Parts: sequence; C-alpha cells; structure tokens
Amino acid sequence: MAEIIAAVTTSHVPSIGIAMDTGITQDPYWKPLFDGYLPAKEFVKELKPDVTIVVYNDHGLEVFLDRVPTFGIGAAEQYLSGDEGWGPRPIPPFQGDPDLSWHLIEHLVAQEFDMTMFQEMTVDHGFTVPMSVFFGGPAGEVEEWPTRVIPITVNTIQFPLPLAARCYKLGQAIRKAVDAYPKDTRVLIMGTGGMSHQLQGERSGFMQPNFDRMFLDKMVSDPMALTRIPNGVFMKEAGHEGAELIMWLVARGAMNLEVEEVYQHYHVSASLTAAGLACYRNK
Amino acid sequence: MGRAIPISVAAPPMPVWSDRFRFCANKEAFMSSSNEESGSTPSITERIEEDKRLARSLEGTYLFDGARSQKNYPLNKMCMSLTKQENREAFAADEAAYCDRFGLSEESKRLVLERDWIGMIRSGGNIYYVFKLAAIDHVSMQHVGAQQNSMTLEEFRAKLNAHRDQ
Ligand SMILES: [Fe+2]
Repeated sequence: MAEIIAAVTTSHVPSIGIAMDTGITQDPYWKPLFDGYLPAKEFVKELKPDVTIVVYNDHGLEVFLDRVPTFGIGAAEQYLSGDEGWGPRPIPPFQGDPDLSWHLIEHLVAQEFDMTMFQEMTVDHGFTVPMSVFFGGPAGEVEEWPTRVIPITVNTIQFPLPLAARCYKLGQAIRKAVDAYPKDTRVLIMGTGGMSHQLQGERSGFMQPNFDRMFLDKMVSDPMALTRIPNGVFMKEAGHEGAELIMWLVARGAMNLEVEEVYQHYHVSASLTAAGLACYRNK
Repeated sequence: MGRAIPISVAAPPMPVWSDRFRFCANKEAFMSSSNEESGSTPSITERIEEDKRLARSLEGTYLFDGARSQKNYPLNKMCMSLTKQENREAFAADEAAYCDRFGLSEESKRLVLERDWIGMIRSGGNIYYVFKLAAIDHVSMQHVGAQQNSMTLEEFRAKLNAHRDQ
C-alpha cells in the first residue's frame, strides 16, 4: 500500500536557484540560508521517498492569464526545467509517475476536486528550487533525482485564489487518494511558496516575521486556525505574494491532525522573501 | 447496490471575514474567531466584498483581480512571450516594434522602453510577467523593488535587512 510518509515545506525564490546554479551558496549573504537547509537534506535522505508530490504555483511558464487552472496536476513521464525568461536551470530531468498521477486524478475528481490535467509540462523555480533545496547536496548539486515526482499546481497569481480551507481539503483528498493506491509507494508531500513577501508596488520589500512565526507554530499546533485566514488577510499580513502560504496548507492537509515538527529553519531574507522551511512527521 | 460510499472529507469551517480576524504582533494572541462565536454568518457576497476591500486598502498594493488582469493584458502577454529565446532576440532588435506586435498602448510602450517598473505595475502589469522583462536586462528583483520604492539599491537593501530585527 502507498503511504504519505512525511511533509516538508519551504519558500521558493528564483535567486535561491541562481545561487545554487552559480556556486555562490557559501558567500556571506547566502551561507546562513544554505547552512540552515543541511538538516532538512538529511531528513529527506533517510526518508527515501519513491515519489514526491510537489505543490507549487506556476509563475508564467506553463500558465498565462489566458487560462488559469485553480488546481492542476501533472501526468507526464518526465518534467524538464523550463525557461522562465532567464533560461532553464542546469539540472537533470525529473522522472514522473504517470500511473500514480492518473490514480490521483481519478480519486481527486471522485472527491469533487476537478483537477486540470497536464500531460506535458515544464516546471519553474516554484518546483525546481525546493527540489534542489531538499534533494541536492550542500550546494544544491544533483546528479540524478533520487525520487519520482508529481507536480500539483495552485493558482496564487490571478485573484481570486482558492481559499486556505480549500487548499487544506485538497491535501486531505490527496491523503485519501494515496492511501487507496495499491502499490507499495513511499510518498513525500512538499508544500512550497511564501513566507511573507511582496514583490509588486510601493509596498514591495514588505515582510512580517511575526506573522511567519505564528504561521509556523500553528502549522503544528492548530492548522485549522490557519484554514480560516481569508486571502485578503494573507495579503495584508504576509504581503500580496505571501498569500502563497496557502500551498503549505495542501501539504499540511495530507498529514494527520497531530504532527511532529522534526526541523524548522527561518531566515530573513532571500532577496525580498522571508525564507522558511519545515519538516513534519505524523504522530 | 451495497453500502453508500462516504465521499466527504472532514470539513474545515468556512473562513470568517477579515474584520473578525485579528492578528497581533504577539503570536500568542493570534485569534481567528469562528462563525459560531460571532453569532452571524456573513453571506458569500459579504465575504468576497470584505476580502477585496481589505486587499484594496493596502497602500502600495495592486490587487491582481479580474479587472486589473484585463486592464493591461497586452503588456503581460508581451512579457510572457519573453520566455522564448527567439522572442527575446526579436525584442532586443527593435523593442518598440516588438511591443506594437502585441498591441501595447503608446503609454505602455513608453513604460517598457523606459523600464518604469512601478509604472508598469500601476498600469496593470503583473510582477511575475513584468519580471521577465527585467531578466532581459539582467536586473534583479531587488533593483525592481528599489525603483518601485523610489529608493537606491542600498536603501532598499537596508529596508529588507531591517526586518531581521522583528
Ligand atoms: Fe511563488
């Protein structure tokens, strides 16, 4: 039987990818962040997931404003790093798991989550940076990904965004779908995005570590409270782009109500973004 | 035939509207009162309006809703096209002509040619698409942020670093 063995969450920022790809992770600016990632790399290494479900938002690679899927899922054999405007990242291709993808699609639709299905898709920094953070070496280096992947996309760009509660329920539905998968498969779920940051407008540069710390605490102690936060409040307290935190709740929803936080790291800042990371195990 | 299949998942409650949501700097005081406690359940319309009112009240923030997304669709579409190398080359060869191909207004074209980031955002540009234009110039998000704040890069970096103390 398949099983969700753990959840991990992290911010995703293009410049973190650039730091890894250009070998400057030990520069004074980046060192505290990359040093903070080391225990998380150990955690996922020991987990040895067969498949990693990566919850992220497309930032204008596969998705333009002409058609915006609220929730999407990949069902491809392979996913390549795409060109967001500054060229693809120099990383190996990601192997998919179409069989599990189609199982998830069937079980999610049966639970009334009408996912948009992608049989061909490239992935952007929202996907690749967290993968390098958790599965890459100390400087993010990767020869071959040690896990198959399934991308799940959430619209966090075109308002209205899905509600935090809806994201949590999607996580619960993913959990049920994985539990019903007959093949022995160890599944890691990864929630990405956030934490507080704003990129647009005169308010760009806004961050709120107090809100982020509250969010990190409630991820363990009271995720239901987080599901009641309206998206306007996320924008106020975590910034217009910080509303990406709803994607952490997809990962959280796939876990038991009671979890143990194995590791947490919080760093201000990676470029304009307050960079948070956490690892959770079911209790 | 047989037993019913349970399809419902344990439902988190609907979100309360933001007037009733309180976040205090002291994280212990974080509160989000539930609908039951407050006695009345806001209608869907009330919740949507309240959420938008809050998001629109944030100074220096341009809620990217449907109206804004429609406002300068050609600018975002032109920026999106820059995810292809051949388009980046065509843009570099003649920026104004390239903008014309996407039907940008004269004003939007000026904002692009002058790399007026805050002007593009105000006119309906979305930061993720507009940033593809910045990447062409090898300009970082910190530069874009500094310009939007009318700050030098050093001043803007100091603003970012100041959050470390919070
Ligand atoms: Fe993002």
